Order: sequence, then structure tokens, then C-alpha cells
Amino acid sequence: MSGNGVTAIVVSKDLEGLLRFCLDALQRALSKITSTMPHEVVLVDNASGVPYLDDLYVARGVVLLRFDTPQSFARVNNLAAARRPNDLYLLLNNDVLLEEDALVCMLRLLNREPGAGICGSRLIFPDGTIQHCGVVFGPDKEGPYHCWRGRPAELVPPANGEYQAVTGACMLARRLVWEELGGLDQSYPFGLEDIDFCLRARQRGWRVMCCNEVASLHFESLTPGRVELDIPSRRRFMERWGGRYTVDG
Amino acid sequence: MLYYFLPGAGIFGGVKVACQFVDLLGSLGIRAAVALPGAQAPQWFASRAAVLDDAEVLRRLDSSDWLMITWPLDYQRLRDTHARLVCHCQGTDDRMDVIFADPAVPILTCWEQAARYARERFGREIIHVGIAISDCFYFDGCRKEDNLVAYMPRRGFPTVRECIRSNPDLDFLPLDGLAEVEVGRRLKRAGVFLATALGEQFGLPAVEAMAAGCVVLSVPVKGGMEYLRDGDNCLVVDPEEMPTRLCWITRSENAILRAQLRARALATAQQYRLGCQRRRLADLLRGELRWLTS
Repeated sequence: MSGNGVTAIVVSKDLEGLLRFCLDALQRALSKITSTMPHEVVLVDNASGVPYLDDLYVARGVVLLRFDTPQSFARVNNLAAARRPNDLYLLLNNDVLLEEDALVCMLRLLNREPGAGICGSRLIFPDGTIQHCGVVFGPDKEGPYHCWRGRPAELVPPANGEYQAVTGACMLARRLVWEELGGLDQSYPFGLEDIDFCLRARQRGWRVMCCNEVASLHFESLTPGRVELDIPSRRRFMERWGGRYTVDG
Repeated sequence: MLYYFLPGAGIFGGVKVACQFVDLLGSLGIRAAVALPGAQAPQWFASRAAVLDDAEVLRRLDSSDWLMITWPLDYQRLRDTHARLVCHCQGTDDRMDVIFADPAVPILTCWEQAARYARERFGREIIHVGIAISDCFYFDGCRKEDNLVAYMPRRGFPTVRECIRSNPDLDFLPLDGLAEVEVGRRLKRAGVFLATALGEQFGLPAVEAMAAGCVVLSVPVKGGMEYLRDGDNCLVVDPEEMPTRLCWITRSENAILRAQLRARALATAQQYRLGCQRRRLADLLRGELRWLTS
């Protein structure tokens, strides 16, 4: 498929029970845009201990890619995007349960705002506090962080806005941006390649929006071994970007 | 793509105004970023402007790009590139004249005096894009200390020194080397602000102090006379008169006058809201400034 639709890329390792909920929610959200936009779902099995079975997913219309050794988040997304090129890419974590209207709202915002190339989404923890509603940057070593993280969601106005970055846990990106930047930077072990991607997009004049009209659920970092990779990723990020972004946090 | 060239990221009003302008252009769909040596970004004020290494920008320029300049030296070094130049004028001194004299460089002005200067001395058609201050300066109802006098010591310090010497009953608060948000916090607490920089182009700090609800005592400035109205929203005083005027305005019997000056200053500062400049820019981009979108 190479068309005018959306390719949703879900990178996953183990956690198959949660993954099924994720795909169910994704397909409900995709069904809301079916009339205006074709779509397909690429599930990347990033070296699960027990490989995902093709049959289970093909029946759902999902394209399954399997890696036998763990790959970086950037690499698997880049490969998936290269295999199934489309006008838009939706990067989605396997522990995000999309709200039914999330994609409709994200697409509307992306198309309405002039120069917008990337759109993230409001995500909340199961306890109703904010996980993500845009990424802001503090001075010096503070670097990027999720604004209002941990604050009760009802206390954070659901206003859409422009940010320097949004999380790749749920990110819609135009192919034009993707190709201009050569996708995600594969030198990041796992984490912050999404922020890097947004900053590079902004350097080329693209705007990064966050859709806060609806909130989807994000459990965050449930994949075993995921958190350990944050440290080298952050080091890599600060080497490249330290002092090179403006401060809005 | 539009690249706004700046010589550095230090604490100078022009750097902040430039980044703010890039933010506004970006929010209106103009692909824009700031070009700075080594991509070292200013981190002393809030902005979302993307920053690029100026050398890298020069390598990847093409003829469809716009280079925005505001410093005379950037005109010298960039005029022979393939890209188109546009001047975002933040000052009118002799060094800027060479830019005004170049008809190939469109001129955008931030304040009226600069617009008049370019029109009258060079017969240039200019586009007045205005100027704004950050939201962090606007008074939020926090407690004011009527006898607390804020000032910026970098320019006009001899005048401040005389004020301090002549007014031992007042508390003085220097604002220097601070992040913008902290300057905003302190201004909102201060009762009075002394703007002592002679030869100031516009005097952004005085508008910021007005927004923060300070009684502003300002020396006359070049471009800022569009918002400084002596006796109405501030006191415009010569440097040598500042100590006695400060003493006079802070007397208890002048409390009502101070309140009036503050109220009118706050009203004046509303005209310099980012939202106002954004609306102006949006209108211009649909009309006179449409060429910037091409």
C-alpha cells in the first residue's frame, strides 16, 4: 500500500494481552476515519519471547513484522514506514488505548493548523492524571519534560496547542516530514528519538501540535527492560541538543 | 523557509523580540527558525523558536529562502547570498542606514519612530509589524510594595546611583542577568520602575514594567515615545531630574496619582499583548506581507 491514508505502526514486545486491547481501541478509532481516509495497521513484534502468531493478527487485517533480536524504537518504525509508505504515519505504543475520537480530532487539528507536520495527543494514566499533553523544555540539564504530568486531568484545560515536541507514544506525522528528516534517528537506543524528531522537524519550519480535546489511556513503560534504555538515550539527546533549544517550560 | 539571523543569544531585548517574531510567524504557518552561531539558543526567556547553526543555514540556503536581519553586520555578510533579505527593523542609527538605502531589502518596523525614519529619510515603503511583550509581565494581582524601586543597572547606572543616594527611605531592586520570568515576578512586586537608558531604541523594559503595574519613570527614548505619555501613564524625566521626581512621586500624598499612573500604564501595555501583534501579523500576511508566504 502506498497511498493517501494512514499507516499505524505499533511496536510491541510481549504483553500480548495488553496488545489486543490496544489494537481493539486502535481499530475503533480508525473506523471513525474510514470514510475519509484509508488505513492499515502494522504490528512490529520486537523480539517477543513467544513470537506473535500471524493468524491471530492477519484475521484482524493487521500486517505483522517480526524481529528476532530487539531493535531500537527508531529502527523498527523506520522499517515499518518504509515497508508500508503512506501519507501519514501514526506511531502508537502497545500500552496506549486510544479514545474512539482521538484520531478524528488529531487529523482535524493537523489539517486545520497551517504548517502543522506532527500531532500528538493527550494521554492520561489509569488514575486520571496527565501522562502527556505536550512536551516543554527547561533550561540547562532540565531538558525536555511532559508538562502537567501527574496533575489531575480535569485541572488541565483541554486546549489544543503548539509545542516544541510531543511524545511518540501516540504521534501522527506527515510523510513529507518523515521523508524530509529520514524518519527517526536510529542512534537513540530507546527513548527521546521522538523528541529529537520533533525538534528536527521544527528546524525545518514544521509545527508540532498536541490535540487535547480527548484523552487516551497510557500505562507507560510497561515493556520489561524498556526503562534501562532511557539513560543512554537521554545522554545521546543532551549531547546533540544541549543548549540548542529554546526554553518554554 | 525564513531564517532570522542573530549574532548571539545574550540578554539583549533584540534577541527576545526576534525569537518572539519567529514564534508568531510560525504560529501563522510561515516556516521560520532562528539562525545563531553554533545553534546556541537563548534560554533566558520563554520561546518555542527552533534554532539552527547559522553556518549550516548558509550551506543549505536556496533562492526561495528569506533571511531576516536586524543587525547591520548581518546585512554585510548576507547580502551576497542567493537568498532574499528582509529587515526586521529594531533600531534606527547610522549603521542601519545602509540597509534602509537598499531598495531590494523590504523593511518591517516594530515601532512608529522607525517607520517614520525609514519613510522620511529614505522614502521607503515600510510594513509596520509592531512589537509585543511576554504574557509573564502582566500584573496578576500579587502584593505590590509601593516603596520598592526596580531598575536595570546595565545602562544609565549613574542616574540610578543618584536616585539611591537621594532617596534613602526607598528600597531598590536591581534586575540584571535574570531570566525573563524572574524579571516579571520582581516587576510585579515593585511599585516603581526606573528606565534610565539614554538612547534606548524602544525601551521594552519600560513597557514590561507598565504591564507589571509599576509607576514608570523614564528618560526620553527614541522609539518608546509612542507609549510613554508624561503625566498620563508614566513620568518622562531627564536623568538629572530623576532623583527629585522619584522622591516626589513616592510621597504618601501622591498615592492616588500613583494609582492612576499604574492603571493607565496597565491599559497602555494591553496594546502590546502578543495576541494583538499576532492579529496584526495575520492581517498583514493576508495583505501587504503576502509575499512572505511565497
